[in-house]
Amino acid sequence: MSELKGVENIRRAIRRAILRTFPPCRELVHIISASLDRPLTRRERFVMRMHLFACKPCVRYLDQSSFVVRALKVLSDEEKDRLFSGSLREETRVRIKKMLRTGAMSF
Amino acid sequence: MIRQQTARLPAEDENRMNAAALPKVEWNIDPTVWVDEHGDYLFRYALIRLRDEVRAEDAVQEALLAALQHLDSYSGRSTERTWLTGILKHKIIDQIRKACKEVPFDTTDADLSEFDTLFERDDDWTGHWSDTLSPRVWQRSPEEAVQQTEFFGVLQTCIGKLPERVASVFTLREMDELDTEEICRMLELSTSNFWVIMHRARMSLRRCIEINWFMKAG
Repeated sequence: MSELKGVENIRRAIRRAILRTFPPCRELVHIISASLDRPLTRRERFVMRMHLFACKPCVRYLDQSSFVVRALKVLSDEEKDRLFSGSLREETRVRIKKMLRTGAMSF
Repeated sequence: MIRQQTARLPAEDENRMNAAALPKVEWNIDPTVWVDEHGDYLFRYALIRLRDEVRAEDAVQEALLAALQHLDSYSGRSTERTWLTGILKHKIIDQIRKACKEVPFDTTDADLSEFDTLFERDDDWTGHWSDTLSPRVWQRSPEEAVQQTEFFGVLQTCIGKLPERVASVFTLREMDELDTEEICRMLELSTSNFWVIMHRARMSLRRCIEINWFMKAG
């Protein structure tokens, strides 16, 4: 039991050392954001990998930010239209039809 | 769907009567049918991208009038809806460009100080996530969320809370997949401001849907 605890303590110490050595979460979130947009530089990749190894909240930030992007892709998917709400008001419908009729007349 | 169909019946009769009064356009197209067939679809497409009902309606109107003037551009290769959506997409981008021109770039759009508290701590770990404000373990499934209308309602509300330019930049990039350079040129943004704005949008949206969806009981 105490041996297990010892291993856990060592792991914790390593994680803490990494977090102290590399840029803090406040800066990491910028690199994570950038990773969703463009290829990272070698240094950025290294820093991100080390930090994510040691930091659970930043892993969640990455996963959840990727999800935001994915959700936006669904929102822009024309085939998923049935999921979204909103319809033209009746008066707008009438107005546009009227304009289209006038437009068609002028041909 | 059923609701739409029953609502459409009288309108179709009306169209048929009016079609008789129309001069014979090539292919005998009655453009008012577009409003019934695709109006709501186009409106939602515009609303998602413009976040304002009046502006969305205007964009739909402009797009349908432009379509009428350019009937010859419809090759018949794509469906009518795809063709109309393509025209609408251009109208929406025009509107965003105009709106951004009218309001000069405000440095607060690229200001990240609202997130400072997320990284404030009492111990000597300041700069790392605050214990209470760090990303949580989400209580609801993301896979299920993207199949639910209510979730997209929340997402749209969250996008709507972003400053106008931030929302425009983010949706043009992530939804319409425009190039970074194209967006910067169109909205007269520096590349560094572009990245800050994208980061800001991501930070805000993640947190907003966490609070308003993923940490709420299903």
